[in-house]
Amino acid sequence: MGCAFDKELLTGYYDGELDGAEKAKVERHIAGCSECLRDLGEIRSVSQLVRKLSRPGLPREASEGIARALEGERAARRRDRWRRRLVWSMAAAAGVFLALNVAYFLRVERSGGREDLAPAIGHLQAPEGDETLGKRELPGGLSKLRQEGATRTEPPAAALPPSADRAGTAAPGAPPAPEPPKAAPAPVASSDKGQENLRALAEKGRPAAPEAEEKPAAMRRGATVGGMQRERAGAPAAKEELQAAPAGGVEWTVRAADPARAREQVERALRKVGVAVPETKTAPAPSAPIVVEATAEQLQRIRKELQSESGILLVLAAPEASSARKGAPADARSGADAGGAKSVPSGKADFAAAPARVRLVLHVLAAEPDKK
Amino acid sequence: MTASLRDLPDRELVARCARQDDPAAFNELVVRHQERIYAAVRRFCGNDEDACDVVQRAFLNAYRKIGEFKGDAAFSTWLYRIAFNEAVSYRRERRRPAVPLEASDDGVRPGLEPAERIDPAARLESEETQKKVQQALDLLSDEDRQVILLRDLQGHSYEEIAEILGIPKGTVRSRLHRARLELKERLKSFIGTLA
Repeated sequence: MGCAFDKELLTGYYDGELDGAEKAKVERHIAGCSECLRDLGEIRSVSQLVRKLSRPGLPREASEGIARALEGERAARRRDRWRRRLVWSMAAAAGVFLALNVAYFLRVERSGGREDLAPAIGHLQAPEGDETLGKRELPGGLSKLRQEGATRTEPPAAALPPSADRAGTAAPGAPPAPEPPKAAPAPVASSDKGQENLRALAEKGRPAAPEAEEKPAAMRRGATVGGMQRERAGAPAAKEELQAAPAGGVEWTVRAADPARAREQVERALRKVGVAVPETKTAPAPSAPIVVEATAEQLQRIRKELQSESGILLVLAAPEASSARKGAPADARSGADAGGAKSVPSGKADFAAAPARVRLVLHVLAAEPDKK
Repeated sequence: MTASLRDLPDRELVARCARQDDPAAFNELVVRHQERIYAAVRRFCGNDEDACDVVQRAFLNAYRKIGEFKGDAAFSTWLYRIAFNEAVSYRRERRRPAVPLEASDDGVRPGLEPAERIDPAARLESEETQKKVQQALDLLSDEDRQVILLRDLQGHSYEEIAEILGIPKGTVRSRLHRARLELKERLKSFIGTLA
């Protein structure tokens, strides 16, 4: 009872967990201490009571429970794996889709939107047999116009120059569209930038717009611009225009960000198709038109060349015959008259059938920034 | 396949589980250890129902954490540790009160019975004695019960117990001593005749 010996050593001694020195110490002590000897006996008794407890056998429900729990866990893991795979697959598919889209838009951007314009230009192709007309681009891009046109509340004819009007309404194979009312054009409801830009360019090329409303025939004649206007089946007025068009010569407006460079590009294109470019001793004024003579076939080739040149924003088949008659330089005007007199075929012959050369007046102008 | 798994040591089976998530390898580990784990947990919990739940949770936990087993100690040591931790938290969750010895089914109050009238051999073999020892164990604290079960029921060394419980070896000895003294007080009538 009163023994101060470290009793934990007795437990260690009983369990055989003491080192040699401790073991010897305990053995020396219990040899002379009856209390510690009794305590050691009690420790042994308690330990034996516990040791003699039966080891409960594993009940069947316990082993089944373990198996069930493990199987449930494995099933959950399988589900997780599938879910992860599904998520990854979907993410990969979304990534591929996104990458393809980005690649497509980058490509379109790099090609300066030509891919976007190509289908629209295709709509402007002349009908079968009209070799002269070929393709035509419109200011601002026709596809853009088409997209934006969805929000318009006015017929295109009211807002566009006559050439654009016809181009926009006379798709190949399409039935002839009725002429829009010229006397009372509907107001433009859309404030779309692209449309406004297009309209501004059109207005620029149509200085005699009010006149055009009063004198639609004259305007139409100007708009035909040397045969660039397509003949629409069932439209006698259009045929008249076609016949009259070469009389004014062909007058195109080239708009480019860099007019000086564009001028060089134009001259190069002219030379490339075999058209003689008039040489001048002094450098011509930047705004001076380039006046040449070309056959119908050459006109087509020139136009293709210009379309393929980079930096040229648009090649406008100018509705500027009237302006040519009014405001163009005298040589251009007289040239047009002279050329027209020589080259206009009589009757209802197609422009492509014109045997003689046509005077081509090319205005190289700077592209105007968008106006709000 | 099964025969070859039986021949593999625990360490190799554990490696297969961790590397390949091999269900057969883990099943083999379960078969090897479930009896001993259950026996210890059953004595710790005091009833079959709790013991079944605890063992199930312990093996499930071991399956989930098998990748964390470093192999520093024996797999069985690691498994005991998980099982006892599960048992302690299970009892805390349930807040199952220990059955006091005085309120045992037979109504016998061991402290009042004269030791000389008890036949120790017969009692130890009887279910009644086992029940009383179990009830005395149930009245110990969780940590005292763990250490005494691991030493006296399962026969682990102090070192193994220290690893299982995550305590120093010296603490094992002092805790074991304390647990035995406590148990002796609860079973005084038996001790008197056994000593």
